[in-house]
Amino acid sequence: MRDIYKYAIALAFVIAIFVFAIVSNQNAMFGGADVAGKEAIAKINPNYKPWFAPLWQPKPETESMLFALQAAIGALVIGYFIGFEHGRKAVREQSAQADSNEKGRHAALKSGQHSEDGGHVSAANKQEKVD
Amino acid sequence: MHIAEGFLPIEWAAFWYLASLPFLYFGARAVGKIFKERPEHKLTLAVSGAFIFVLSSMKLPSVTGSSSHPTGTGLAAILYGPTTAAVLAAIVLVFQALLLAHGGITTLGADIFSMGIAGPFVAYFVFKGLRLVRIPLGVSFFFAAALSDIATYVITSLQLALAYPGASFANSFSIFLGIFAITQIPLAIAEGVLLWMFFDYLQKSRPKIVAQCIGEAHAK
Repeated sequence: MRDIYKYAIALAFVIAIFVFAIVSNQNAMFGGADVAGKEAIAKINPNYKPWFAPLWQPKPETESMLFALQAAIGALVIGYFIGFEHGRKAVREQSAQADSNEKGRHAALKSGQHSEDGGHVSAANKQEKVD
Repeated sequence: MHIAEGFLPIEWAAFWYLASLPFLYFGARAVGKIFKERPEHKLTLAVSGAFIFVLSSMKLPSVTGSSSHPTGTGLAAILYGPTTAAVLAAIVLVFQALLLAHGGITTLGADIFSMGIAGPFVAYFVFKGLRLVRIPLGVSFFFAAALSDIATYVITSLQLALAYPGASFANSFSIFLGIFAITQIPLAIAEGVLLWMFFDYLQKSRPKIVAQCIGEAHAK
């Protein structure tokens, strides 16, 4: 549970940075960087002409779509991995619980208690420890 | 950090291609070795490549002829070595050069060098160096990832300054560096935090894999 808070704070921090970057994009600071860049190249070498044009230039909408596609491919793989790990953990816990159920039942039978109840109690205890 | 198509004079374009090729060769061999000898690492390798896909698509405008975005190469470099990261970054850069007209075929060598080689090597050695003086794992990882992002943009500035030296190389270099720094420092911090989050998660989820990677990430 502590981890979730830790990640949430970290994520909020990252979002704040991006929001700051995008918001400041609209006013002088970011525009300043852009203009300064243009001036820099023009001042240093006013005669330079690109000698090779892109073979294919997507329209701005297509470009955004392809960028989104790129991010989506990456996000898909990361999401798959996190889901995979989640499932793995669940299976592991389930089998641990099944094990402890078995043990609980045996112990209960030995001590002559009601087998079902004994099993459940012990499984619950075990799960608390696992968590 | 992408330099736009045609924005590097032909001799510099060729130079950066030649500089990048040996790293890609060793990287391709390293990737092949992981697939053959450590198949249980395929998934984590794919995920570290996926971070490069996601983070390098978060683009903000910056210097004309180039752009600003995080690189995401730190995770792959630290887990699987800098040459492996070079191969993964090259895949992304080819995708962007051909489909997005972002970067370009002529500047691909230079882009691979800055994002795929300089950044990952800095990440790798910063991480190892900080671990050597017993800085905590998470802190080491954050600085390695953030500094690799900065290093990529320092190299891009260097590449642009070499191509456009103007009156003096140093002057030109500091101009490009100054412009990039404004957009890049906050992005580098964001990148460090994002990659650290995943590293922290991975370390808890797959401690064995992470231990293996950190122990033998650079085994040739």
